[in-house]
Amino acid sequence: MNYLDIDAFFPHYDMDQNCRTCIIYSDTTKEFVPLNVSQYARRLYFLAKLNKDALHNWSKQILNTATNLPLLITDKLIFIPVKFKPHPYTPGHAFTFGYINYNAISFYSSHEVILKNQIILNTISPHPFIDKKIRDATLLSYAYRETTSQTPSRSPLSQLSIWTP
Amino acid sequence: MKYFEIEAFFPCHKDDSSAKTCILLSNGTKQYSPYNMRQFVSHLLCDVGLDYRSIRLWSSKVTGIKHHMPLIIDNLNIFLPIKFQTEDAVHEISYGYVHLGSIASYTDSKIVLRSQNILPTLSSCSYIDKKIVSAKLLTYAYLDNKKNMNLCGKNNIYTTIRS
Repeated sequence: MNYLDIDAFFPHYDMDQNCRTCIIYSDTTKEFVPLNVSQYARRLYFLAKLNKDALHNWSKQILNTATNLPLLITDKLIFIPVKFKPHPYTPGHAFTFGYINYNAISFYSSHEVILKNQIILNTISPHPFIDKKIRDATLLSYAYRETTSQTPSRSPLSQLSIWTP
Repeated sequence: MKYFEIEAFFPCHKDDSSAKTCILLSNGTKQYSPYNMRQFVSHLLCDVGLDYRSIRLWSSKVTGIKHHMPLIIDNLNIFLPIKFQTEDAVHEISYGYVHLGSIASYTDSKIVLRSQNILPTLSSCSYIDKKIVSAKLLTYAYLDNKKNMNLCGKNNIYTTIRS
């Protein structure tokens, strides 16, 4: 499956407390990769040929916040950070941060997020937090569209990504 | 006085009670209105053919905030709610509105407008920053809404009057 079909990804621990990332695709298939969430997010940017730090900095400027920023890949693919219920083998048993594509959400409450493909994800992020993150993602999406429509394509490289110098 | 000439408006409490709202215009002059803030905003929107309650409801839906939300007239005219200090003993704090495009700079204690007027405020920098982000979201949503309306071929009274 392509990275554009990802609906959510979050940490998953096995019995030996080895951290992996569970990826849920839009056709309900699951994949486990031997990377933590942060590493997998970097890999996503690598696959999309984007600079994570540049995008992170730009998102910071638009949203005027420094923490828990949504991951912007394209205007249609923005992942919002959500706290997931800890897996039984999670060290510390606190909570784990994962990411959900805001366009794939069909319903959410303070306990669960239901995706459009009917997969239910147990979360511990309160309802207003998810609400705020969805609004942040919407603002980023609008701003991204505006930026891309204004950026002139001078070289073939700029067609690959708007973030190339 | 047109709505696009307004830089800021806020309550003023005078003893003779003839003026309840003070309006700063882009040419640097001041005007007073006998209406209170709520009535003044209603009249202002009414002149453009907009309904105050509809605007508030839509803005609340888009931004997710219920109180002290920016006031949008069109994509170029958005007013931010700002806390002002009044000289009146009864009302120590009052809320007024400042045009987003008219703000030259701001700090924790004052806002400098493009007309070089300086407004002493009680709103912090981070509060104004937050309101600017909400205003940005409203602007984009407004433009998106308008584009969708035009694509559908729907000419509602909203878009017709403003365009």
